[in-house]
Amino acid sequence: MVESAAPTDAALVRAAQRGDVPAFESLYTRYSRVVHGIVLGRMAASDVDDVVQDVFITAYQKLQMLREPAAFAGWIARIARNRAEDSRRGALERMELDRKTAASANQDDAVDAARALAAIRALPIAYRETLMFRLVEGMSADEIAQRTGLTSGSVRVNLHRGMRLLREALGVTDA
Amino acid sequence: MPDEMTDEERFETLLARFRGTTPIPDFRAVRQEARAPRRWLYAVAAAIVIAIGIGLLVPRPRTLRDGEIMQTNRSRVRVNVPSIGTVDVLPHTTLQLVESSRDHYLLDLRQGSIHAKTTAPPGVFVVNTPKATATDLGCEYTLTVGPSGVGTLHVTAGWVGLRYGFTQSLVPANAHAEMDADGNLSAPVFDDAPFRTTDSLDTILREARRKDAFTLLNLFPRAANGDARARIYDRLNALVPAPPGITRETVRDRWTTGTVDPWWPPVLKASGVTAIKKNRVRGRLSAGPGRLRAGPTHNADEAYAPLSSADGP
Repeated sequence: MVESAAPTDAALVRAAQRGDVPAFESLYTRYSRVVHGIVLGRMAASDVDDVVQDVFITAYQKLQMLREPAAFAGWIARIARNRAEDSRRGALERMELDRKTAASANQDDAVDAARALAAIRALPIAYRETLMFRLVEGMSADEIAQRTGLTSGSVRVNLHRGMRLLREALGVTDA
Repeated sequence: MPDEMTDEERFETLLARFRGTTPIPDFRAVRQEARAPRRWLYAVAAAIVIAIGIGLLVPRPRTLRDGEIMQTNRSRVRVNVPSIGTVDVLPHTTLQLVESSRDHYLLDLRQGSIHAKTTAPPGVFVVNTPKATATDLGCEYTLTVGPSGVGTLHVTAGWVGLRYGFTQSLVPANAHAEMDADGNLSAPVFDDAPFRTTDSLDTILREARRKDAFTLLNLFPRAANGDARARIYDRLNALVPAPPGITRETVRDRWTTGTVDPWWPPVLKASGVTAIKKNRVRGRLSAGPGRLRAGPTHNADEAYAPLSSADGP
């Protein structure tokens, strides 16, 4: 649910720029799912948590450089995309030793989930990120609109078209 | 649109496992400055690692590049295959990454054991051994081989396709198959079967339960002659009656690889095995064992089709 009486992004950014850590933690709470969805659309799930933390640490370090506090949503999303692309370039070329990767293949529908995730990752970016926010992060269309700066209409169009492409990619027929 | 909403809800439920649960970093340990010293960044990263409880023994990720060989001694190493899953390389194992791309991983297990868990689309993850090729069909399995090629494939979830030349074994969960030094692949046998892959045909036919119909059906292409096929037919027919058109005489005297195809559905049902869906198979199958480069690219369904008609569902 989107809180209506909560401080604006701009207010939280200004407070954080003055050293108010809880204000930035509120921004983290508000945008962590957006960043997670963006990164997950480009990287292996096992690597996402580290990158999400890295994105917010980078944002906090460079917060003084954000001259327009109200533009935080687009700014953090840009950092996330750039950071994920940087990491992805390396990840595609190598196999990493990573003991923290959780085993999840025992579940019956793990393969289907992985296929669906792969199919979303292959969609054009507008549909990919919108579906990530909606289907993976569980955000409502209104919440997606508020967190991304898109209009509600755009979000709904992206969801509708993205779902259609996803169904086609997975061979799911309309009932 | 009720249908669309239903799909959304279904996908949301399915994909919830990937939902973000990233612990909040300790921003109090971070300075707001544009040019933080790198050692400070490393200290922050270390603090985060401790804070989120990953532990102190997390090894620094190493890289395994195309062509590189990994050898373990007494240690066990976990390899993370991006977007695919994990491969545990067990002690005393030699493993080479032959090639990797976004939709195809080819490993060469020269000797030793690996335990693979994948969530990737079937057919993407392929392991060559000295004699055979294991193609992951979305599963979890352990593959063990010696330098001569003798080995065992043990599947604990999903399916794995094991192939040598024109011989193939599709091994389901809770079953295993064996490879000998000549590249012969046994029929898949359930772990709780009252016989072993190396037992005589007489023993297998005598001991087979209804569940083992799956093994018996896989024995047809391995039978030495028509009389052996007739004996397999008799026992299998007693456990799971043959569909119309599959007769003892046909199996014995006019055998082709497609002769018993209609028998697969009832046998799978009797054995409690879920069939592989062809449209789940993606990517390509390696052309053969021991190759450092994958063979010609096949259409996934073309590559899979022979498995269906020759030796498996």
